[in-house]
Amino acid sequence: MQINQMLTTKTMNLNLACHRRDEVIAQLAQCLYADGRLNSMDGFIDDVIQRESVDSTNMGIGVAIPHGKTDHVLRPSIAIGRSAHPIQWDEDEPVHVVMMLAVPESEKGTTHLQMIAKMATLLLEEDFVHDLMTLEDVDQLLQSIKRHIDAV
Amino acid sequence: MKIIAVTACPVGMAHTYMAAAALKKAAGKLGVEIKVETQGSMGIGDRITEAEIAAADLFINAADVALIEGERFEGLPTYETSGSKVIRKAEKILKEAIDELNE
Repeated sequence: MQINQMLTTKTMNLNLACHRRDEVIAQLAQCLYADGRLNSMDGFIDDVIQRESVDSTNMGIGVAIPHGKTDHVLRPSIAIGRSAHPIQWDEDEPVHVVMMLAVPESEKGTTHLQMIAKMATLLLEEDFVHDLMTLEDVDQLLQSIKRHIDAV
Repeated sequence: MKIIAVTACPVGMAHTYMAAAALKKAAGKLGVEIKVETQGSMGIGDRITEAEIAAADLFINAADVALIEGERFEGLPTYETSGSKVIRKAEKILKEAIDELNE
């Protein structure tokens, strides 16, 4: 499974214009929907917010990873958003980077799920998070992600 | 010191695997042996064997949802935590769990 089937320059936005959690979730869902990855944008937004209500996905390192595994997703996808302005995600420290993960409910293929798990696990690596926070353009960031994925 | 742990989370696609990776990383730093079973959307991964349970000094329950076959770990000294805590500060949690066991 290639990461670039899940994550493309179309599913990345390094200049988010919104700073509230639900607006960021909606904007990233819009990226996925516009790229033909969701069958219902509103449905997926509800799923993701429902997951947040169980337990916030703010990791406490300036990154949140909202996610959903639901019928509203057509194929495994990753969206990345970044904002120079702090995003108040929960009552904890604000975040600057949001990595949203979307997987179809019916997904049984472990290769896709492994790739998603791998992406999430990369967030434990300081140099990867540094790249996520600082790299200037989406192509550079994609290169960094591929490099880190291959190194796992 | 032999530790066994289980991670699980509501959706089972992100935190389960992040928490497992965080625990392994922290155990490596502290020089303790750990086996982590993931109960996620890919089913049970790295299943803990009966022999590993028999040899374990400590069980860390980092599952945010009900354990699958949790009865396997009954009777073991158990430290209860959560996936998000482990992801944020795995090293501190491991130390605490070990300290509690030695008290």
